[in-house]
Parts: sequence; structure tokens; C-alpha cells
Amino acid sequence: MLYMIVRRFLWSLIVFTLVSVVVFTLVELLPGDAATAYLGRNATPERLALVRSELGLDRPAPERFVAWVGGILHGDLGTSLSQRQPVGDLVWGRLRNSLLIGLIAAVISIPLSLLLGVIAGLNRDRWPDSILSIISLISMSLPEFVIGTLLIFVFSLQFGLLPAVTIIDDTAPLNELLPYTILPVITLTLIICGYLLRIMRTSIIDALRSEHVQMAELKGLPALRVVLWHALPGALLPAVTASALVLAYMIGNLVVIEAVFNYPGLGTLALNAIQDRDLPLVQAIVLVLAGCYLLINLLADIITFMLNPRLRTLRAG
Amino acid sequence: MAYTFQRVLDGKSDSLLSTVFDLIERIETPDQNTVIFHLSQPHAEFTVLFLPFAASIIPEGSGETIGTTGIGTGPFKLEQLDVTGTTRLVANDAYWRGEPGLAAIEFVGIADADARFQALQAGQVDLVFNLLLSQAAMLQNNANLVVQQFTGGEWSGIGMRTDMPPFDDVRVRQAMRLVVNRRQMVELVQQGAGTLSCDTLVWSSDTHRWDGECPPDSEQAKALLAEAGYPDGLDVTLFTSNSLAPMIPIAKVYQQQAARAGIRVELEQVDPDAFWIEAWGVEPFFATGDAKFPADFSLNLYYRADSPFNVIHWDDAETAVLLDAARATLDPAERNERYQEVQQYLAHESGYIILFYQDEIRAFARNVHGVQPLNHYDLLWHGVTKTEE
Repeated sequence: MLYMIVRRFLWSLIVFTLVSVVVFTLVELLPGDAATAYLGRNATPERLALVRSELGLDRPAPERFVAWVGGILHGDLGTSLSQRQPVGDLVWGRLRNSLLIGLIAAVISIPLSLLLGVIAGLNRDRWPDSILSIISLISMSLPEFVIGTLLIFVFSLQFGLLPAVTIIDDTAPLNELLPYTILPVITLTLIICGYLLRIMRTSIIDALRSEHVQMAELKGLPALRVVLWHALPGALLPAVTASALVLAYMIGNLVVIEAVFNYPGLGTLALNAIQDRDLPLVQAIVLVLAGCYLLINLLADIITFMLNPRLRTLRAG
Repeated sequence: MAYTFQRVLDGKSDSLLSTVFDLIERIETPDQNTVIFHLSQPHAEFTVLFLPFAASIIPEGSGETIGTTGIGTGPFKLEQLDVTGTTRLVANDAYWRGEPGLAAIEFVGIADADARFQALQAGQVDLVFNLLLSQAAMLQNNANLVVQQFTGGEWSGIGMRTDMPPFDDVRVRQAMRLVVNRRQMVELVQQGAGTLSCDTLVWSSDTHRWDGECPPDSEQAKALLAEAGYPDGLDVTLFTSNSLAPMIPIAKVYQQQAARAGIRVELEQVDPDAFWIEAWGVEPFFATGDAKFPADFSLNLYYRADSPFNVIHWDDAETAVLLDAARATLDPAERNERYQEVQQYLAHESGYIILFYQDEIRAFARNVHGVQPLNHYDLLWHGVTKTEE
């Protein structure tokens, strides 16, 4: 199993390297460069030359790529053009804030959706299933910004219970940040639950149909025992794998959700960086997000290995 | 004061205003409270050139740090600067106009337009600049918020390089202007939220503005084109970009309107990162727009042959004579006529199609007072107050 994990890890590293090449190339392919993008109409030939030499843009692309990657390996992500600060300082604090809502949402939504999925699966085509299915279909099909805006409308504008958008420093201590995380977390939870509930429901239904579960039922075991001991373990496997994939997929939604609530995470930082045409910052954020995505996928694989007896016992060679 | 302008003139500030202040020959400070500017030409409204915020007076020796300290002569002092978060300013009790009406102002950076709007409605912020028309409409029945709409500071138009064919022929330039139906343009592009301009970039509330009219006349445009050697119409490429919001809609409407006079406009959309460097003032025909400046300032910035903002490459002796004459006229009424004269001349001869000034829309809480209908960089912040609900 260790062999498999190491192999997956190496694969992730290769993918990450490819992502960094793609990110760098895409930025290279954009019309203009970071200097023209940043200076805009205020560019004079002297100013362009100055900013280009500050950024090292006067050197050839392969050389810059090597320098960029070398910097990243030393923890130096470059310098933000618009804020004149090391990109790392801007990114890490924001990453903490994004992880905060991501983790809270994951901790709430995964057990919740598994539980609801089991309830729906066991009550297939009866009213609890119908209600849960309708709710999950609605939360899956509504875009995240619509859900966010609706929540703001209800909780902030109508009842004034929670702040509509976040107005706080990105370096604020966690306890001050917490009230602002509630609405983003609810939004994210609704979307994650929508997907996972459907997957869990299908898994349970499949598991209940399987021969060993039917065998257990025929042996006259109590219904609860059949579900907990015989159906659930088999049904969990695809659901847990799916959870990790849904979470990785949620990174994209997180960017939009943060923008809706002005939450000071990586998403709003990306939005600002794109509006300011701050390409070094955009490059770094894309890379960090890609890194998170790969990490979650890797975790998903490891969990799958551990849950699947066949893979767990697989030896190298 | 002497330091500020000497720095601009020396080119150390790398300021794009240096051409505007070129006329300063020498600066003298005989005592603590006196500064004498020696100018190369008479200028009756010299002090008007100090109005744009880029010409603010800064303390001696602060040129390198002013961007982050913000120390100046204004009503508020910078306490904390965070461009994407919260920037906090506190009252400067020693302000020369008197004590400011607010103890502190916090500027909150909210990147998303909808999030800004939500923050305003939820009462988390008291004022939001640059609302969208659709958002303002939603506030019509909101008793807690005041919506303010006024002629704002941004003009929009199209530039023609006067040194490149086919626009090096004044008849072609005139034909290109004559095809525009400005009323329809402002309706379609701005949903009517704008003030028409007849090819002058002087703001509609400026006392020197020339209030010309530019009715569309495609027959006359056709005749001019025929005279210029294009009896079968003309093919041109208009470079545009989503760098400024109205640029692409303007290009599309212009394409339709110009077709009536047999002008076939092809649109070329340039990425905003490259537009200002690769198309604007480089290609013969391009979308443009800018903030408002006082009349003398913008006329000299955009039409003087040696200015970096002379993107239409207008090199005309008559313009220089007219601009110099206007500056040198001491009688205010007569000077006003001179400025109008130069605008009329430029509208007719030069290479700009200036369409409209965009309206600016903002909304603020009902308990905020003294917010004048002026651009945010012209607002007199010391007069703004906030009362308890």
C-alpha cells in the first residue's frame, strides 16, 4: 500500500510541475506582459523599461521560468505589483482564511450528507426521500452566487442577524473572523450536501440490493444491524472517494462564494489581483489552488486504499 | 510647494503632468509664505492647473514615500493603508478650512460590485461609489438610502490619428464625426445616463465648455468622403477593448451608425492588458476615454504636439496659437470666449469623436450629509457629516 501511496505522491508532483509550466506559459501567451498590464495607459517607454527590469522581464522566458520555480522552491513566490509586497505574505494569510471555511464546511457537510443520504436511500421513493431529493437538486442546480445572495437577503437584509459581507482585516484573529464565516459556510455546505447526498443515496440503494445484504436480511438479522454492519461499509467506499473529489471541485466554488461575501480568502485575493492585472500574484494563487486540488485528490486516493481491502493488501510487485 | 513642482519638472516623479507644467521656468520662495512661479508664457488661470489630484502639494523630500504615507494638506490623516482591506483616515484638526465634520473615514475595498451593494443595504457601509444603473433602480423605494446621479468625470469617445491615412484628411475626420447619432449612442450605451458632448473633452459643468451641437448628417458625410476620394465609402478598423466599460458598446453602435454613410467599420477587440500599449494612439482608429480635468488642463494635455497624451498625433500651429491666446487673456469673459473658440476649432478640425460624459451614480445612508454631486476625487470631505439615526 505504501508503494501505491508513494507512487500517487510522485504522480501528484509531476502533475504539479506540469501545472506550473502551464500557468507560466499561459501568462506568457497573454497579449502584453505584466508591465504593460500593470501600467496601462500610464506607460511611457521609460516606465515600461523600469518595471520590466524590476520584474526581470527583460530576460528570456526559460531563464525566468527557472528563476520563478527556483524562488518557489525556496518559498519565494515573487513580488506583488499592485501591493509592492512579497506574494507569499499576501497568499498565506488568505489561504488560512479560505481553509477555515473549507474545513468547517467539510466537517459539517460530509457526516450530514452521509446521514441524510442513508435516510433517503433507506426510504427510497417515500416522502423523506422525495423531500431530500428535491432539496439536494435545488442546491445543486442553483449557482453558488444565487444561494449566497438569497442567504444575505434573508439573514442580513430581512432579519439583520448576520453581517452581509465581511469587513475585517485578512490577518484578523480567528475568533473575530468566525461570525463572518457563517453564511459562506452555509452556502458551501448546501452545495456539498447536494452532491454527496445523491451519491450516498445511490450507494446505499445499491448496497441494499447486493447479495450479502439480502443474505443478512434473510437470516433475520435486525434491520438496523443489517444497515450498519452489512450495507454501510460497502456503500461508504464510493461516497468517501466522492467526498474528496467534491471537496476538490469546491475550490472553484469557493472563489465565487468568497467574492459574494467579500470574505478575505484566496478567492477575493484572486479577484483583486485579476482586476489589478497583478500577474505575479495571479500566477501564485493559481499555483496554490492547484496545489490544494492535488493534495485533496491525493488524500482521496489514500483513503480509498485504506478502505478497500483488495487495494490495502496489495503489495509492491 | 517649490519641491513638489521642481520634482515634476525635473522628471524625477516620472509624472505625466510634466508637459502641463512645462511653462514653469523657475520657482522662487522669498519667504515662508510666498512662492513665485516664473512662467514662460502668460497664464491667467495658472492655479487651475493645481486642481487635479495628481498635482497635489507634498512635503519636502517625501517624493519616494508619499504613495504609502499620503501626507498632504487635506482634511484627513492616513492611519492605516490596506488597499484591498480597510484603509482608515482620521480627522486633521489643523485643516485650513476648519475642523472636518467626521472623526474618521474608513474606505473598505470590496472587489465585487454585488457585494458592495449588499454591504450598503445591510448598513455595513454608509456610502458606495460607482453604483450600476440597475442597482440604483433597485433602491428607488428604499427609505434609508439616498441615490445621487450626476454628470460624472469620465468621457468616452473615439480617436483618429491625424498623421495616418485615411484620417490625415480633415474631410474624412469630419465625415467620421457626422455619422454619429449621439442621442441614440447615449441611449444604447448608457441607457441615457450621460451628458452629450460635441467633440469637446471639456466637462459639461466647466464654465469654459463650448456647448456645440452635432446632429447626425450621413448625406453630408457621404459628400465629404466622395470629395476626399472615397465615393464608394470607406473601410476602417476600429480598435476597442473592455478596458473601459463603454468602449465595446460604443464601437458596436458606431459600426451600425457609420454603415448609413457607407463607412464599413471592422471591429478589432484587443485584450485590456495590451490595449493601451499596442492599440491606443498606435493604430489609426481606436476607442478612448478619460477622467475629467479643468478646461485648460485637458486641452493642453490632449492637443499640445509634445504631450505624451497627444495620442491623435495632432501637430497644428493654429491650436498652439489659440491655446496660448486663451491663457494670456486677462478679461474673464473674453477669456471664456477664447476657450470656447479653441474647442469649436478642435471639434471641427482635430481627430476626436467625443461622445458623452458618463453619469456617476452613488448611494449613501440618509443620515450622511454634505455629499456633493461631485466626483469622488473632487469631493470636499471635510464638509461631510453623519448624524445619529
